[in-house]
Amino acid sequence: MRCLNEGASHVLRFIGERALHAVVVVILAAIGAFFLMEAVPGDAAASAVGSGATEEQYLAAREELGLDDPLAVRFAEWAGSTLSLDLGNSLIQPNQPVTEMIGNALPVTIQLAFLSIILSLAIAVPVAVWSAYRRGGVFDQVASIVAFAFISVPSFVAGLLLIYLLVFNHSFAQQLILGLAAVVGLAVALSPLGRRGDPGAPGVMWGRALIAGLAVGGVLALIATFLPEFPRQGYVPPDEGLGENLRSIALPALTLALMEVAIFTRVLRTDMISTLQQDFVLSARAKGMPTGHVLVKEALRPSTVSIITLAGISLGRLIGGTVVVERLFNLPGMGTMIVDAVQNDNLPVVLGGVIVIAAFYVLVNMTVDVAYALIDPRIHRG
Amino acid sequence: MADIDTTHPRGASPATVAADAPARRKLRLPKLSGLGTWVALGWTVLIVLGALIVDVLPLGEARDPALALMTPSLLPPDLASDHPLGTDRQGLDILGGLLYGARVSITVGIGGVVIGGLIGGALGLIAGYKGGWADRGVSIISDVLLAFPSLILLIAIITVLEPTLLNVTLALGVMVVPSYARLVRANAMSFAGREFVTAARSLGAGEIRIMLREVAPNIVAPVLSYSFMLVAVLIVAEASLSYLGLSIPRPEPTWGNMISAGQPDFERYPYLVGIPAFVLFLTVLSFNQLGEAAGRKWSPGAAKI
Repeated sequence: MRCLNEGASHVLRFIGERALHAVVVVILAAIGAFFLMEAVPGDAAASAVGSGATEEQYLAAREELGLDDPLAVRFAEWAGSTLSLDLGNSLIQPNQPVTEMIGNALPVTIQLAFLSIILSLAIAVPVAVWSAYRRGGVFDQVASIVAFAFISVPSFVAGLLLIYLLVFNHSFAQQLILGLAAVVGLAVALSPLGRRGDPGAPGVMWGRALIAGLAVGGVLALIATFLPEFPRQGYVPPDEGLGENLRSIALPALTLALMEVAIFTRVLRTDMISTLQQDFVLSARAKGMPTGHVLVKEALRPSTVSIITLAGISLGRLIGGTVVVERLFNLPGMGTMIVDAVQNDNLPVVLGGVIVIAAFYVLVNMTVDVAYALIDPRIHRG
Repeated sequence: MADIDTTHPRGASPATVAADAPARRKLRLPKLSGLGTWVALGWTVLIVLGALIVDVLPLGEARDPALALMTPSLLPPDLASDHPLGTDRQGLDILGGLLYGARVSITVGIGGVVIGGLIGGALGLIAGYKGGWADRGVSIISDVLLAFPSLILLIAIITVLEPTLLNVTLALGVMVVPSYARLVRANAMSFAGREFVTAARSLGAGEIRIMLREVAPNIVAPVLSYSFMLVAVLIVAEASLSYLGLSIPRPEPTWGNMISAGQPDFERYPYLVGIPAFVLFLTVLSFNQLGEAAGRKWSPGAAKI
């Protein structure tokens, strides 16, 4: 009992320390961002009133924005209002409050980020498990090369390629996937050719390969046949129909997922290879457990920690990384908001957006650390 | 992870055998690692060389639309013509644009890594070797810089600076400072307590001398192999910034702004986007491949971040 209490207080102290650290970092980051924006050479009053304004309007705007006050006064005012969650107003008509703009933009970005993580996990986990199980085999080698290439594709390049194929040349994309279905299906069905000395009857082996080949080819062929038409750009909010919403966000999510898939696959594969060499996996195999059971129930479970960590890190990365993709697909998320604001010298929006993203990013990373410690108690004891 | 595999006595236990059994003839693809590295090296040399000598090459006008008024616009690629890769909507030569763009990409990539490496390396060396307050100070600076996702940090810095080649390079350098500081710190810590450092100290060597002559040389290899990958990261970051219209503006060509400028005509003239995108991809792939190869060769057991 004493031991348990000690453990619990350890965990609490660890969480407390991490939370304090996160708060300090966010405050320092916000202060840093404030002074960075102070150094912007442009004049906030000039961009607020526009180029056709009179001298008086300009001076009034300077007065209203408090630009004539000393830096210390402005900093104190800004810090006070930021602490009361007021991030000021946009300088561009209709002068919306920045918090309201962020309230509209953040859900789009978060939906995009979550969707691409789910998509990448759905692709990466099976690929990584199979690569690790058949380490050094053809599938593993092809997957490694593809993953390495994907890591080198900038997101806007991947997005443009997807637009070119799936939006502009829809029927060509369908034929391409059908061709892929035939090739991959055939390769899987003929895979016993590459084996020698496999135990068991050849009839069973060929039968299994044939079924697997048909299944893989069939799934790809189904995807090709029912490949929906995706819009080139724009965003449909979920309350106008979930189907339309998902269709408008599918290509951006897939674009972002490509690189995440590559990263997930590489890390998980390494993880799985070391798990597959553990004694308990060996004993499960020795007991004659089916391969599927060994891989999913025994070997994948210890990798849960890695998956959570990876997903958390990538959620943080995507909150900032969606900028380019949002721009490419014209989605009204945080990235579009910030880039537009930078181009219009709309500093309160840049400042507010950057701080919210930083806070979110730090919060996600802290949550990952804490979750990690709760799952694996060795971390905070070590 | 690597040392578990190599030094653990269980390396030859049935567990490993089980993972590979039954004896299976593996259909090996050709050994790409060696060949791939050579191709990557060749492509990098080609790009750097092109960026260096583009001024004296007999290419069509690629930077000033006013000088390209007589050139037909949107010429398709034709390797035998004066414009081997075609022209864009303003009649600017695409091959020329690629090479001037290469100059920008290579400059910001290598320049940013050098700046970030020097600043971050110095900070990390002091933090890792000295520990205590220096370590805490450097850690908090890194943490604050890392509180911003990298592209957001870059956008925030570029809001303040005019988007010139020098400023973009500086911003990219700042972006990688924390990565270097962490890498060097971790490595410096592992060397700070080693015998040769104690020996140097007992011989009366000063702190700075120990840091520069005893600790630093041991860290160079992992830092260098990491740097290749960071060059790739920075080239992508600059291209993304260019694509967003926040880096060096048109008509001065960069790979990112060529892609962005070609986007309206993308459906009918895919080469306008495809050619710079492909060159960008190959260059990033090459630097990643070089980094991977260098990492395998130079720092198999180095401390990771």
